[in-house]
This record gives sequence, structure tokens and C-alpha cells, in this order.
Amino acid sequence: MKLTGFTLRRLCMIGLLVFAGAGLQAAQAAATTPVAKTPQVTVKASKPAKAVPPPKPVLAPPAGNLVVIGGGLRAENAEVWQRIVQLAGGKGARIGVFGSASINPEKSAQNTVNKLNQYGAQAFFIPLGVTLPNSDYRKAAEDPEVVALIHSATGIYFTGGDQARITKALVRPDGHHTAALDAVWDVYRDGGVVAGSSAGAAIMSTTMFYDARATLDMLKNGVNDGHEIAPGLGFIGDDVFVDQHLLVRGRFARMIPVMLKKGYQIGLGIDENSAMVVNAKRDVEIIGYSGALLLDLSAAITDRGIKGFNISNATISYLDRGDKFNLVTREFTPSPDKADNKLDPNQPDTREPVYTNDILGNNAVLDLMVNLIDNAQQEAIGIAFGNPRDGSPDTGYEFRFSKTINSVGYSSTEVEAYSVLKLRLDIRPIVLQQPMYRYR
Amino acid sequence: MRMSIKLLKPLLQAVALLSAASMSASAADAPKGNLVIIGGALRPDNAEVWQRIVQLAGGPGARIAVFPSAAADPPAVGGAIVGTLQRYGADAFLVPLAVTLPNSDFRKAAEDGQIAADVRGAGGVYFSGGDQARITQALVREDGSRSAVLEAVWDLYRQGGVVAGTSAGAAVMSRTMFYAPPPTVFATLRGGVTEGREVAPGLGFIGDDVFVDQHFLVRGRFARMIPAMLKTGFKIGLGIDENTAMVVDSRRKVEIIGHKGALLVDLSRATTDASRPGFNVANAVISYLDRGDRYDLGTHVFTPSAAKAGGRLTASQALLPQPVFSPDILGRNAVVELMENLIKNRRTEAIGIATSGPQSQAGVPELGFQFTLSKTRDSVGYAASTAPAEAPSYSIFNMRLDIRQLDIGQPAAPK
Repeated sequence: MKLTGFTLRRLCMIGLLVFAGAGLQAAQAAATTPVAKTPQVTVKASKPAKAVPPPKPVLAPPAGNLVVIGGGLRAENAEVWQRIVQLAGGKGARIGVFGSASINPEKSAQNTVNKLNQYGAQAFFIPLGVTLPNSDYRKAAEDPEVVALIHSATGIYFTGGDQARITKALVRPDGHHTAALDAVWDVYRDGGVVAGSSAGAAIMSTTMFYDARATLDMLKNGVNDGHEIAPGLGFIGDDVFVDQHLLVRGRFARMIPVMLKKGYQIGLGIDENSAMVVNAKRDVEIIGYSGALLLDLSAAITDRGIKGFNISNATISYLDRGDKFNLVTREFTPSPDKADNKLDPNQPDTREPVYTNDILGNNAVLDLMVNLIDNAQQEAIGIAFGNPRDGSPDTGYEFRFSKTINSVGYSSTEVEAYSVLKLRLDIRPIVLQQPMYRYR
Repeated sequence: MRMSIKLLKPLLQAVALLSAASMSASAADAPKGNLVIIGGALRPDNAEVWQRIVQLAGGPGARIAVFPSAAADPPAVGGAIVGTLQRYGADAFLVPLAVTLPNSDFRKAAEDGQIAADVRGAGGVYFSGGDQARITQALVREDGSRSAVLEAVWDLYRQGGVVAGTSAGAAVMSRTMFYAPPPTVFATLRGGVTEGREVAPGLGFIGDDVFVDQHFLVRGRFARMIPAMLKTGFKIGLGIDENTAMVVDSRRKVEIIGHKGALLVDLSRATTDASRPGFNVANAVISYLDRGDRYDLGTHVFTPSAAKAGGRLTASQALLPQPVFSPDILGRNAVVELMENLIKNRRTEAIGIATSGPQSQAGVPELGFQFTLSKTRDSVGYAASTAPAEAPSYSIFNMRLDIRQLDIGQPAAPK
């Protein structure tokens, strides 16, 4: 049978003409720009809330814990739900749930209230949201009754949805904290837990994605304050950028332009159905189903001589469930089932070249990192490009991962799981030949 | 530890003939038992799957015989499984039968009366992961007939026990299985499959009409299953993802449990065009069965899970306007994501491509494949009402799939 019934569009191939084979030399020779912490730009548009610095007189770091969940938290993920309840004080702990990110705050919050209660909490809905019917959210955010309700809790939970709705509800138009937001900070400072999933995780850092576009679009066109990004609530401190739904949606790549733009050296991206617990000593522990990617740009440089987004000497690590990382000392501790099982670089599992056509695919970056760390190969390449029918289909990016003297891998003795630390990552633009492929 | 292919080939053909013969003979008295076919990487905390195995073996205290035959280190691998089954309430025990077991004659063990009696007396068996060729080598006689212990496993299954297996232990469930170490998916598309080399006879518990594959979505394996099914004459193929299981009951109803889902490939109306170069197929039908969904192998009817029953997607919900494309259809879960994006899209067609990798030399065309998914009047999607809005979960049934070969990497000129 012939395939004549099909619309055979002139589609494409991959003639990956690597943009200037001389690119690397150029990168080294050209004037390089150290990644410095840039001052926060004041937002001119009035739409997003203004910068929300953590409260000024910080006498001591918050005594509480954060539980930063990557979205898609399943009801049966006992480890994460139990940890939230435990950090809020254990059985009977009062946990206030904000459904503010949702189009239907009460329903969204009630769903989470039920789950928390299944795990032993006494959770309740906090009636504050820009989408809450018959409610003036500005009044609610300053209402002493709402404030008292928040103060009565030892734990706070922000559900998923649109993070812009959370900051709109909790931050005054002039950028100051509302009374309700101050109350949340009080709970956190006094030793309570602040948890959030998806949008509720995005607000944990001082900058968050706001009106984000597809990852590839943001690599091509950059990110701008008040558009793709806006201020978050910043519970994790001003030195760590947080992103979520990370491995499932290939989002590690979109973190980098934001971190460069806003001067973050450390970025943590948490995967779905998984959580990062950050305690008062700034130990990060990964719990749940999957893990988190850690980006360190402290030694990274970009080359302004190269047209388009590029970075070299970024460091990327994958922290698996059970692993720990300290944000102050930057020390890593593998989970107990991996502690005695460091991979021996002299006994690689394979020698096969590592490559992917779609480094932004589901879990692709982790699969590539795992394949590289236990491999005789010293580097691996992943490509990102768009739909040949989209605009600028000839622009793509090459992601080059390489081992350095600091790169380490661990594997679990119990399940198929790895931790991969400190691979070098370089990204540069490439030109894709058009048409990309033709029928044989 | 595998026998050379040359030696194995006549033996394998004999097994194929025998198992086909015994299958038709026993069609009248179908097994009363259940199969639990696990896609590999089953986590110790996946209570739903472990509990189901114990329950189907008879509940708390059920005797379950653990075969570590596929493993390189049978005592360690088998011991861990025994430990997990005990934690879920079973009275599990290790079967000392494996070609890799030190100081043991596997042929003697496979005919040992005591071992056969222990297996026959159990409520369930569990085949570990590893290399599936080691399972068939240990359990099938050199002349292709069943060893005493394999006959005991069949007796247990026929009389209502559960036969469970993960990874390699899932591969043996169909009458034809991929060999380990497996060829890459792309190599299978490019080079095809040859019986006795890429594929060989399995143990065939699921019946002779269903092909089974595992580690399915994470490794893009749907694309290797299709050439294998075409070559060996299967119409129905079921591929189960990691940390997930298919339960097949005595009425041949399939239920998906665990973390993720399974892909169903139906080639009953598929055609290939021999006049075209290379592997191609038209009018294959693929479906994604999410956890909780059911499928009847007899009637071919899908039943979405309770959470999705009211969530049938209508045309008015198919609103996404962007073209649907995947640069790496063999990537993790890529085919399911493409199906999801298409069912929610105004367009009727989505394209994914697969290429061999970066080795292309300038000017030399490289081989690739195009996968075209299309919606037909039978295509239907369901969304779960219970999933959080930011991480929806879908079931998608009956999408058409066509695969054809491409030239990739024509001589490239700088822009």
C-alpha cells in the first residue's frame, strides 16, 4: 500500500552545521564576560508585583523548613505528605492551605486539605485569592482575621496553578508585603514549614517565571523582567533560583538565561512528584519519586562575541532522592544506599557515544548524564531544535556535557538510581540545515 | 553465558513448534490463573503491584516461588525479591535454578522432583530481571520440551496461581521475546529482526497471539516491537513501562496498575510497502493505557479507569493550535507525549522523527525514520478528574501510526 493519502509536506533533516567549527576557539579567544551578580532591575510595568526583598531586619535566618514540590504530587506519595505534616509539628498540626494560584482556590485548597488530613494534619483553607468569588482579595490580604488564621498555623501550603496569582494576592501594588504575607513569614521564621507545589514552588525564590514561553523560545529570545520573569516571594533566600516540573519538561535549559540575567549562581530545579526540603541550616534533602537538578554558574562565562545565547563552564549535577546538599558549604552527601557505591571511572559500564536529538525531552538530560558518567566517553552531546514548521526552524542549540576532575557518579545498591555530580555544561547556538530531511 | 546462536537455532525452532502445538491443544482448558507482567525497575515501595501479586497468590501467607534464573547473581537478586514479598505478607522462597548459580547443575535442578513439587505447591511464581535467555535456557530442555520445573510452573498457572515477572521475567511471557542484551531501537528499525538473533522463543504464558515487551516508554521501545511483530506474525503487542504492571486474568482481561502505563500496538489492519526501501508500515494503531485502565484481549474493548470515566475529551477541548512535533520520537515517553499533544490539538496529524545519532559525515545522507500519528474517527482520549491541574494524566486509544524511512543530513551549506 502506498502512503499517497498523506500530506507529504516538505519536511526536513538534520544537517547539523555546527555554527562555526571555530566556535570553541572563538569562545576562548574572544573577550569573555564573567557572570557577575547584577543589581535587581526595577520593574517599570505595573502589571507584575514589584520586587519583594526578604524582610529587611533579618536578625536570624528563619528557623523553619521549606518543602519545595515539583508539581504532580500524587496522593499516595506518603514520604512527601508525611514530611510536611511532621515538619508542621506532627499529628494534629494546623496547616493553612492557600489555593490562590488556582482558578478555583477553594476547590484546589480543599483537595490538598483532604490529603494533608489523611496524613494526620488538621489543615484548613485560607480564603485569599484573586479568583475567589465574592471576595476582595486586597481587603482579605490585610484582614486581621485572615492574619490570625495564618498565625494559628504551624505550616503553610501553596497549591499549584498560576504563580502570578499568588504574588498578586499577597504583595501590595507598591511591592510591600501584605499583612497576610508577613504572617506567612512569621510562621516560617518561628520554625513552621512553608510548602508549595508547582506554582507554589515557583514563588519560593526571589525571581520566578511569570509569563513564560516555551524553553526553546526563551533561549532564542531571552527573558525580560515583567514578561517572562517577575519577583517571587523569596523564602529560599536571594541566592538560589528555583524551578519546578523539571525533568519531565526539560526545563533545566530555561533556568540558565534567568540565572544569568538576574545574577544567580545556584539554581535548583525539582522534578514532579518529588520535593526538596530546605532546613534552617540550609541543608537541602531530596525526597519523593525522582530528584532535582542543581546548576552552578559560579565559574560560568558567556561570550558576547557569539551571536545568540551561549554559556561555557556551567556545572550541572543531578541530586537523586535521598541525597543531600548544603547551600552554604555546597557539600554533597549521597543517600545511604549510594554512599558506598561510587562509580569507578576506570571501570566504565559502556563505551558507546552518548547523544540525543532532543535534550529538552522528558528526562533526556538526566538519561544523558547517567549514560555519560558511567562511560569511557569524556563528553556527550545533546541538541535542541524546534518544529520545522515553526518560526526560525534553522536555529538550534548544542549542549555539550563533559567530565572534569570533579565529576563523580554514585549508583544505588537497591534500585536503578544514580546521582551524578559536577558535569561541565557548555551551550552554543547552531544552524540547522533546511530542509531538515527528505523522504527516501 | 549464552549459548552460541548456531547451536541454539534448531533448538529454538523446536521450542517454537512445541509451544505452538501445546497452546492449541490446551485452548479448551485455558489457565485459571493470572499473570502480573512488570515493566522492570519495580520499586520496593510500589505497594499496589506487590500487594496484588500476594493477593493473587492467595493473600497473606501465600507461598511464592522466586526464580532468579535471569540474574547474573541469583542469590542476591532472588534474596531481595523474597525479602520484599515477605514484607507484603507472602511466604516467599528462592528456587535454586539458574545457569549462573555457582556449584549447581541447572539441568539436574530443572528436573529435580522436590523443586518441581515445591513450585507446584505454591500459589505464585515470580521471575526476576536480568537476561531472559538465561530463563529459557534454564527451564527448557535442549530438545525444546518443558523441564519438570517448567511443567510445574504451568500447572500452577493452569490451576489458578499467579505467574509474575519483571523485565526479563516479563519478556518470557510471550511466545517470542527480544534477546538480551538488546539491539538499540534504531538498529532494529534499520536492520530488522531475525529469529534466533534479535528475537527467540519465550515461555508463552500470555498465549500465542500477544507480543510482550518491557521497559517500554522510558526506552522508546514501541518502535522495535513493530518490526518484531511484523516479522513473527503478531497482531497485538503490549509494552509495559517501568515500575508498572499489567495484570492479565483468566478471561484475558488486562488491567494496568502501578506508576505509569502501557502501550498497545494493533497491527491487524497494518500494511507494509515492499516497493519502498527500508522498514515501513502504514495503518498501525496505537493506544496508551494509563494506570487503572483495562483492555479485553478477547473483545478488544478499552475501559478507562474510574477517575477518567467521565473525562472523555471532546472535539471542543482540542484547542491547541501549534503543530505537534517531536525531534526524538524514541526519547523517554516521547510517543505518549506526542499522542497527548495531538489529542488536545486542532490538527489531525503529528510528526516525530528518529535518527541514528551524530555520526553523520558531511555530505553523506544519514538514515532516519518519520513517525506520523493521526487521529481517526476511532481516536478517543480521556483525562483524569483526580490529577492535579498542572500534571494532567490521559488515556488515549486508537491513534493511527505510519512509519517511513528518510534521508537525513543532506550536504549542508553554511547559512
